[in-house]
Amino acid sequence: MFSMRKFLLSAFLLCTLYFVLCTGVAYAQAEVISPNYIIQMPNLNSGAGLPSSSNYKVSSTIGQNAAGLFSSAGFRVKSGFQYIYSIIPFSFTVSSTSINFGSLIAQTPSTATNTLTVSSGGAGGYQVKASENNPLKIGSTGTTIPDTSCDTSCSETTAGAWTSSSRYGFGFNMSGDDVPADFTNSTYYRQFANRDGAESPQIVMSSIYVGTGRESTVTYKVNISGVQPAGVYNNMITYTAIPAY
Amino acid sequence: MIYDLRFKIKTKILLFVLLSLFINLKSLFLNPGLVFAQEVSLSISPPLTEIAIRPGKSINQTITVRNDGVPVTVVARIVPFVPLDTSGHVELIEDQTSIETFSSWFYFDPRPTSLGANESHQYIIKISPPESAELRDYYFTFIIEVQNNNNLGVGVNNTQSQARIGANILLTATKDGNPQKKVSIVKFAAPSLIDSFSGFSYQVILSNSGGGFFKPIGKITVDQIFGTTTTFNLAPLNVLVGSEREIGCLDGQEIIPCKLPGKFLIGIYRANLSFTVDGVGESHEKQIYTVAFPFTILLGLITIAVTYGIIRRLNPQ
Repeated sequence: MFSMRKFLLSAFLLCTLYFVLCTGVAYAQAEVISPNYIIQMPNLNSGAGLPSSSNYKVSSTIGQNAAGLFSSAGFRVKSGFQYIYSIIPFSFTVSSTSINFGSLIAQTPSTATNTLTVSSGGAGGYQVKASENNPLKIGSTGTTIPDTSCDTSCSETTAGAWTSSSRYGFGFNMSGDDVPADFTNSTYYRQFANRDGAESPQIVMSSIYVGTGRESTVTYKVNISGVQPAGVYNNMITYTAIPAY
Repeated sequence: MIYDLRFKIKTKILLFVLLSLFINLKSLFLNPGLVFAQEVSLSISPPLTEIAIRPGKSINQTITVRNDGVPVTVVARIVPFVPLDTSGHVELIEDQTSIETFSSWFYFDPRPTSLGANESHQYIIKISPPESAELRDYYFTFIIEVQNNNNLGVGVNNTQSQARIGANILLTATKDGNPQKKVSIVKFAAPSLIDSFSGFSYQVILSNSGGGFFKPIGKITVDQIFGTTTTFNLAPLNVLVGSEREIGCLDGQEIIPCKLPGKFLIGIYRANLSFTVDGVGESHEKQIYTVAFPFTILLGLITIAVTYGIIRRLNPQ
């Protein structure tokens, strides 16, 4: 009887451990199908863009038709895009903040994807720029997986074909809406602009027209050689979305 | 007998639990390409603020940030920018010196702010250029930056994505509210000669060599030889000082290419670009001509005629 209790206790503890470890994944799945993801950014932004001073308080600019125009002695403020009816605020979504490449195996490229979504309803255009803080790096030793040079050449501004499993490095491909034309197909990759190397962030999505739900897919790719030192490699990609002026 | 049965059941349960643990741990740490569904979704409003202000004065402007993704912590900062291209894109100047130069112009709460799912936060920004500020245009982007959870993906080869979203602030420091505005038509172009079945667009590029940004208010009027007239309203897009901007056209309140409608164009099309700066002052105008001719039809007729001639020659009967 006593051993049965011990068994039940052990099974309970194991189950608890099981749920604790698995809820990370299960929770994430729940987030994916939560109402937040189904309803696509229902923004009201009430009360945004109200300018005021000690002498003046102006009415709301909600809707931004003839947006927020007012004047006084000493200043004049306009909020929003004049004469462009602004139903959709400027919105930006990154589908995941953390992408796991798993165990890297020499000459076996590892890929993962991320989705970027932009709505620039009232902005008359937008840009998304991307850059990395540094190449994939082991924090403790500083050992890096260098940015890819593709099969022949590519850079942070120009994509190149990268299909050879004996060409090593870290790079990305873009597909979908408003992506740079040099990503000819899914085999074309670029390096991320490396801020550690004083490179400027580069445009990875852009449009000069009003857009709703413009979506692109970033495919990250890592390929290492047999002599790449073992360790855990990390870096951070910064995506900056800005409406056109 | 009963003891054996209990032992077997216990063993099976333990095996099941251990197997489940193994499968889930494997999927957590070993599967390549695993994406942690930590979706970040931010919106910002208004996306653009235009200010003309006398140095020494101050105003408050509210910018609202809304989070439609997972709970995040955000920080705000204001960064100067310069125009990047003719499309209205910006080049942020993020070096510390440039940012600190204007730090005294803006006051807002810079502390990290937690934003739960579906929560909004209003940043009240006090804008006060000093009395010593040079009378000219200054351009800034109000940036909201998500602070990443550094524990994500610890112990695995991974890359983290950090999201930032911005709203632009165009500030003109002026004494009288009317800085000098000087426009040039850099380009007003369309093909000179086209086939009747190929449509074409008008391209308008304006430059600003004055002391303050402006919007062109005007239209392109296209007169055709047979009397039809098409009018395009220019989009009132900002042309910043020292830059060029390609101006699209408005369809209702949507910016579109200035493309001539119609499936079959023929004759001479005279396009007249006419606009004023901010809707006041002298009108700026330029005319161009495009000839549309049915080359495709002509080529088809020639082909038929040549083929017929060859057939006649080969077979006189």
